[in-house]
Amino acid sequence: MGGLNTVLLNSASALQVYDQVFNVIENNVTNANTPGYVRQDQTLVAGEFDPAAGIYEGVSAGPLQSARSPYLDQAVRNQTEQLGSAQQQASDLSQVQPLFDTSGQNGVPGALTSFFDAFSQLSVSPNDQPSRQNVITAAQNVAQQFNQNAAGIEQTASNVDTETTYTVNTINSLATQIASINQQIGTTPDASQNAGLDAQLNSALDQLSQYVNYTSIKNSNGTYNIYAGGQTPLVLDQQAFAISVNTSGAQTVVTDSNGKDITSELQNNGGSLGSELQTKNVTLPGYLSTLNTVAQTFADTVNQQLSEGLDSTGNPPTVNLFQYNAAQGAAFTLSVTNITPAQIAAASAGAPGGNGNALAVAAIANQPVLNGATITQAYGNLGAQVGQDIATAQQEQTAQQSLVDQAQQTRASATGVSLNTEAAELIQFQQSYQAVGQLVATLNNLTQTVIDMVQGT
Amino acid sequence: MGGSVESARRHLGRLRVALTSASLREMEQAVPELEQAMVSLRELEARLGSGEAPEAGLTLALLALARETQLAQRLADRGRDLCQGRAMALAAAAGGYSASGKPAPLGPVSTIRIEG
Repeated sequence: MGGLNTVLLNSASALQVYDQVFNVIENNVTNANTPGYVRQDQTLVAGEFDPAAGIYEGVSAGPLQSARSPYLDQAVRNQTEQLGSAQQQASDLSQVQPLFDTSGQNGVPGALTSFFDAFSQLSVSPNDQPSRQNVITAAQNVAQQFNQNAAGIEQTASNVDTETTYTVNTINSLATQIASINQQIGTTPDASQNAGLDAQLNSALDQLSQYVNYTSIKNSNGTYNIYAGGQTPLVLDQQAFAISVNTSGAQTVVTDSNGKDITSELQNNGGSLGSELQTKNVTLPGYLSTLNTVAQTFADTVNQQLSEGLDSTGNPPTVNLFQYNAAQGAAFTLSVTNITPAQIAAASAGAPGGNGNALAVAAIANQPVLNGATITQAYGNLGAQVGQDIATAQQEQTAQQSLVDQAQQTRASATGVSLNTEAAELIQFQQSYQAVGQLVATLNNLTQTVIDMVQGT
Repeated sequence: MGGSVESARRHLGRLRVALTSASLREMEQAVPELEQAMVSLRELEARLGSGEAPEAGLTLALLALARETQLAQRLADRGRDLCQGRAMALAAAAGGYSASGKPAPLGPVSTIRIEG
């Protein structure tokens, strides 16, 4: 058998391993709440053991084993991308919702009701000057409400532009951070064993998923390449490639570091950037287009009906009630001309001084002049569409939040640090030492007994 | 007789390596080594009890065994104390302290997940 010295030497070496194991446990505990950190386990490698030959190598420390699971990381990031998109959409669209009154008493619906009521009132006293003035005032109110709606949508688009700029800056900042970590990984010996760098890198990747859809590819040296939208390089090894955003035009455009338009790769493709591009380039223009159509149809229909009547002098009117600039948007530019109360054509052709045309204009309120819907219904449909889009976005946000929570919990249970588990592991060690200690005490007593017997003989 | 002592020391040597291995499995696997060491000593005890004369150098071998046993004992005690202290510190980190000032009891470490 090997001598006591051999055993002690190997015991000393094994104690170092023992200390290393506890250092790993301690590091796990210290970093239990560090973003991106996953549990590390010290592997042990059995040494040669042959007492007959005097070989007592015990154990040595093997490589550190990370509990990181690329699959679980990817699951969390995929869900986070969708959550980022849903949150952004719900947030942006909720700015539009107050513009569309659902009670019918205020906003455009209320103004339309007042307008058609004003013509009804005029039909009662077609030559009454105050009633004629009321019609003009009601018309101005309708125009103003359409203007405010359009301006509100434009303001939301401007807010989305500001958010998009912030998002792009954040993406570029995270890309720079990842490139910097890649650089450290590239220059750190045995970087694969560095749980701190691994935690920093994965925390940055987790954050990035909130903002943009991307694909990450791990290189053989442990660094990551990141491709926005799966195609555009954001990070290649130690170099970051900044993307840019241009919000000056009607459509927001995102370009890669070479100036190539990559908007279509990112739009509605996950992350808050995907949602911001979709809202700015598709959703809000859609709302505005419908609003313009409603405003234009309303103005044209009323103007047309008035043009068929006679003013207070018994002549066909020479001035329209409404005017707008279609190129700049009917809703945004709708206004009342410099028409005078006397020029309102309340009478029907052939019946000067009558109320026929005022009744005809009032009747427009119930006529299906826009795709089978009245003006108020068409506007209500737009409001309903906005409400539906917001409800869908909010439902998606709730569902996605739940999916992200689940994915994070699954990942945490598989790769996270449980202080209880770490402490329980130590208690198991403690109990084993205690059990062995009792057996050794028995052996010690037995040895003493035998020594006494030998010495007594 | 000397063979029995040597056998006990050999088993004890394996136990001491296991005690410093930082592996629960190795420690558990070393317990039979300890039992074997006891069996060897019991045999020696029986032979001495039956009146067999001790071999020369047996006392020295036994004293060496006793010294190594005490070292193993100390190693086990230190390991126990170290783990106990660290476990208490971790338990306090995990669950805080109880009203008595001791670390709060540990929660269950096992989890059950139902999928499907």
